[in-house]
Amino acid sequence: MTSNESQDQAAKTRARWLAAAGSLQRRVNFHHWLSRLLPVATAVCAVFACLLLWVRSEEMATQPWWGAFAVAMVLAAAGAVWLSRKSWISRDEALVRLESEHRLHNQLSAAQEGVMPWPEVPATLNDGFRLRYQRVLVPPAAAAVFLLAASLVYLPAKEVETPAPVAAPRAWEEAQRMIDQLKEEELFAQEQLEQYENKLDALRDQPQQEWYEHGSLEAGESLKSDMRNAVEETARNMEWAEQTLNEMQKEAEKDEGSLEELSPELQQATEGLEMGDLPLDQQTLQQLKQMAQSINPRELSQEQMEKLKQKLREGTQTCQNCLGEGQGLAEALRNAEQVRRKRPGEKGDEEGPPGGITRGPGHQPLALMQEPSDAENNRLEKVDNTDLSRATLGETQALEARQHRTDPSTYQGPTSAGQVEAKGSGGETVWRDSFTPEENQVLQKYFR
Amino acid sequence: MENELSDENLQTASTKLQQLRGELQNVLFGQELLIDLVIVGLLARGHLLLEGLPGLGKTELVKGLAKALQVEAKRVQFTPDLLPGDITGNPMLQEVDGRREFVFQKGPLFANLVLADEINRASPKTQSALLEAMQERRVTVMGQTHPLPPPFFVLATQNPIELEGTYPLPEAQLDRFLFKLEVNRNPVEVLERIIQHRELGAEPEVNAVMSGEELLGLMDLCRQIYLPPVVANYIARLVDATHEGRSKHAEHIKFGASPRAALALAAAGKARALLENRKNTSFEDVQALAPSVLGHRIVLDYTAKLEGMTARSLVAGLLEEVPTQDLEVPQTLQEAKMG
Repeated sequence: MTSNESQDQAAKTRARWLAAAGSLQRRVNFHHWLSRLLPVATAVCAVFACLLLWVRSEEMATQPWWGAFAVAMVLAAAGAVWLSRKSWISRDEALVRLESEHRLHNQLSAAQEGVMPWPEVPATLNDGFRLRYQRVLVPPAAAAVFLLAASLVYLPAKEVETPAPVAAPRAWEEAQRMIDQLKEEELFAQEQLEQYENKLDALRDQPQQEWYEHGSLEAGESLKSDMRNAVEETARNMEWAEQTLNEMQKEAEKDEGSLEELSPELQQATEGLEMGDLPLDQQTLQQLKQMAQSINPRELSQEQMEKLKQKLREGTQTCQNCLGEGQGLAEALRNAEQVRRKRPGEKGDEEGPPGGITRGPGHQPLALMQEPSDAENNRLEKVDNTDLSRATLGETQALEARQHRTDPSTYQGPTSAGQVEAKGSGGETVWRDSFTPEENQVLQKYFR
Repeated sequence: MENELSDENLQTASTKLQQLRGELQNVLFGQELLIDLVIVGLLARGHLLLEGLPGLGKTELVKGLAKALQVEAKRVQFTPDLLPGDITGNPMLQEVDGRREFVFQKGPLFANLVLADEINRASPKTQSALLEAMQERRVTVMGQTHPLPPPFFVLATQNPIELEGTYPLPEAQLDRFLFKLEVNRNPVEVLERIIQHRELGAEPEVNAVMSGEELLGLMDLCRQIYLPPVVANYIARLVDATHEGRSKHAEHIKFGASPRAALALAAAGKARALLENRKNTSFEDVQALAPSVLGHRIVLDYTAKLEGMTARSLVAGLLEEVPTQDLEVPQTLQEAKMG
């Protein structure tokens, strides 16, 4: 081997040793960095997992947070570099590690200083380090579990807080509209209207979040319904009173003796207007009472009569406007009046029912609307009829203290408690509606 | 001999030392390690303390060494009544050119190899005189300084079983010895070989290997052996670990090794490298020599003695505890011993 070849060989050997030392240096330094990074990165992942859960629970976008997580990891990696730098080894130290592991009697250190020739590189280089799998794999696995759990765990949808309603319930608005319209007409008792308004204000004073709760809506609907009923009742009574006044005026011109019959009707209508849920103002009531008590309507001047009728007519119209049903209500009121006044088969106005198979008083009362409405199905109506011969179903006719009326035909003598009176034969209707004797009497009278 | 640490000189030195080793092994059977350590101590310019029972060949070793090196050797049997002047020499009143004057008569220390037999039997005063000469390599008598002839090499022996009437060497004086070597008894095979090849009273034949000047040349060459910084660092950490609180094993050590111990270890390491034909010392040299260099330089506490620990066992523990390289192992890696 020539001198040049020997030098080349020595240079190659040196290069191989230095490459091996460089590789070992990088490996050790990388693991120093990894040892610093893993705990910090695991902690960052755990914190971010908690943060991610919170972000998801708040239903916010997670993309920006993932970006922040990436930045945190980069910072952690940079911090690990900074912290691990003091533990990093140099290439010379790596050489010492190699010569120590291969028992080279520090020949590499001496060769690096030029004291000794570089020894031959063994077939397999061993740096004497072994990977600690548990330390390397457990922290990333834990971090991955944290992140996966935070990303995939099911979170219930967030409860959206109900915004405060902008507008009050419709029933309240309608009730307020009715009150406003009724207040414009000075015909009605302002005290009662203020009571309605106070009830409405009490509803409005509730927290806005509770406006549309079931109880609140029901109260509003109930208030509106009460007002509608009151307005309807008042409208009917005013219509009745006006009609009665018209007839009294006609009778007075004919000078017939039916004025005495009309006076109680006017009195009854006046009482309805006074005692109803929406009474008229005291002045109008006084005039009506005066009319009802006076047998001769001529005691009231024509002008006063017309003013009174006009006032009643305007009041009726106001009520109709309040109710918003226009012609339907007016027609119902007229039909009700006709039913009240005409007997079956009696000839009257052209609007009366004809004879023949269509004879009779016409449609059943309370079912005469052109268009049926479900809104008032549950309406409680006051049935008022002094003429028991014209009594309607369900009307309380009278209260009296007397002996019980029993049906002698069904009496079977004294029975002991617990005994079966009727064994039944099977297939019978166990429950059936039946009328009381009083109801039977009323029905018999009505349909006679 | 050229004192340059060339490959050729290294090879020549190695050859000479191997010859010396061979000659001494012919004198002392079955004590290869002891012979190597004696040669190492010689090259490192150190003095040795041999501890062992009588009749194990300590004197024969010195005689053989003197013959092989062709240097002057003297033996001093230390006794309690031995005076310092008995070993260093005394001024004698003599008539010179018609005048009477004191003429210094050199003692047995004025030799290249001195065997101080049973040194612990001499009084401390005499021991001190010997140890001062070992350290200073000169003797001062009546204001006159007399240098000892180079090379100057003392092999002292002491008997470990006879303590009555002895003066154990204090720690400060033990520190002057490079090595404290234990001469163990020979196994049966070695005894059989001794019986076959030796006769009582007959001295073995030893061939001369080198001269005293050549030995000095080897000593100079030894100083040029390269001591890598990592090895120096290892020596420093090892010596530091002998002090209390510096290592786990040091908790039983009352007094640790001195800086002289570190210097001795470095010098001995170089000598061992030269003996093994290397230009540099290594971790292995330090590990091989540490028990002999540090064993007599550390003082154990009472608990260690109660637990049966010896200085050598503690040094062995320190060698396991102190890594050769001050390298922090990453937490994700672990040491994997090579098979």
